[in-house]
Amino acid sequence: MKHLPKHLRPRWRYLAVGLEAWPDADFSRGAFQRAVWYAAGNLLGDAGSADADLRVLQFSFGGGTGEAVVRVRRGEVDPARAALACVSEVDGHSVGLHVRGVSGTIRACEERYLKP
Amino acid sequence: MRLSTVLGGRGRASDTDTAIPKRPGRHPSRMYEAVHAHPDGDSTAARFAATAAHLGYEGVVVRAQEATPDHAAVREASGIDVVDAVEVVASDPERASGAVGGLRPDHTLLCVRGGTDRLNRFAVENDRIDVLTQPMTDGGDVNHVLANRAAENGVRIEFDFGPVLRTTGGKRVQALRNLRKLRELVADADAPYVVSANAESHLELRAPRELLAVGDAVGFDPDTVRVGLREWSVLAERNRHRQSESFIGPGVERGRHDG
Repeated sequence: MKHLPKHLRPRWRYLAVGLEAWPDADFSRGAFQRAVWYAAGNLLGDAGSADADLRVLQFSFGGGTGEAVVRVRRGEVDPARAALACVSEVDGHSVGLHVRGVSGTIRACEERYLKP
Repeated sequence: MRLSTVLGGRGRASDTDTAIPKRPGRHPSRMYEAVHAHPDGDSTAARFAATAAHLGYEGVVVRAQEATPDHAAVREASGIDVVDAVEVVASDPERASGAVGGLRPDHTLLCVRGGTDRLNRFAVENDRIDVLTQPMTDGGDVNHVLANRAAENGVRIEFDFGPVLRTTGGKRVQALRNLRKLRELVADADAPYVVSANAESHLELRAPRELLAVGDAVGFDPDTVRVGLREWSVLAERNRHRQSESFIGPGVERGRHDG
């Protein structure tokens, strides 16, 4: 399909998320994405969840720590933050997470908040 | 609130709070979180303090049942304030009453876990208790009479965000319903309150901004959550001051006098 003209494309914000778990925990990007969707669906409802449109773009995890970039629609950052705070388990492993920062581009998000 | 008269009335008294590492003068803006450290929870007090410092808190309240951390060492290692608190978990007011009398002189903060109507009533009617925690869990209830008594006695009622963050489905709906009821009662009675995520491991801690966002999503004004997190530090500072040697009674202090 022909791509949208610039003024009709959605605007995004990118949240840099730091992850932590017990050292023996291991889970994949897909599992984390599922947990984020469930958390958003449960807290914000279907409508709010669709508005926020949370998607995990980048993900790395190992040895009990990790980081991810989560895309959210501009103007929905606070509901997204709330939904992320409600992610307490991924794949049966308890996780702690916090939003390190918010950027307008993926590149800025990586450069500022992710480990090189 | 009588608290403000106590706090407002003192001038250079903050020099007694030398235990607080950062900016002793800025007490109203500091957000603290209250946690359950090992062996009550899964993580040690040191782990909690390190994570809380990383998340932007300026202090942790270690509300111990069995835990006996070395507060000074943890404070030193983490760089944030660590408050010596105790949480009385008893099945009935008679037992709680004995524990309150015994523990009050030895700890900065004293919390009583609610959860039954009798325990809730006991806690809000006793001005030696600082915080009534989890008043709505396990079928406990609060009404306007208790909220008014809490306001009179200066007993903080806890808004427990734990179930909102960590449960789903019916349990969470129930917790949200209870939180809403409690919020309306507390607002009506103008009762003091605290906010906590009730973390049992350092993974359950959430940053202040996250808690504000969650509060916003479930109907709490962001300022309410902020005040609730700060209230822990206000309480800690008030009690440290009261337990210091220069304090005799509200408005009466021993100090230097000229002549």
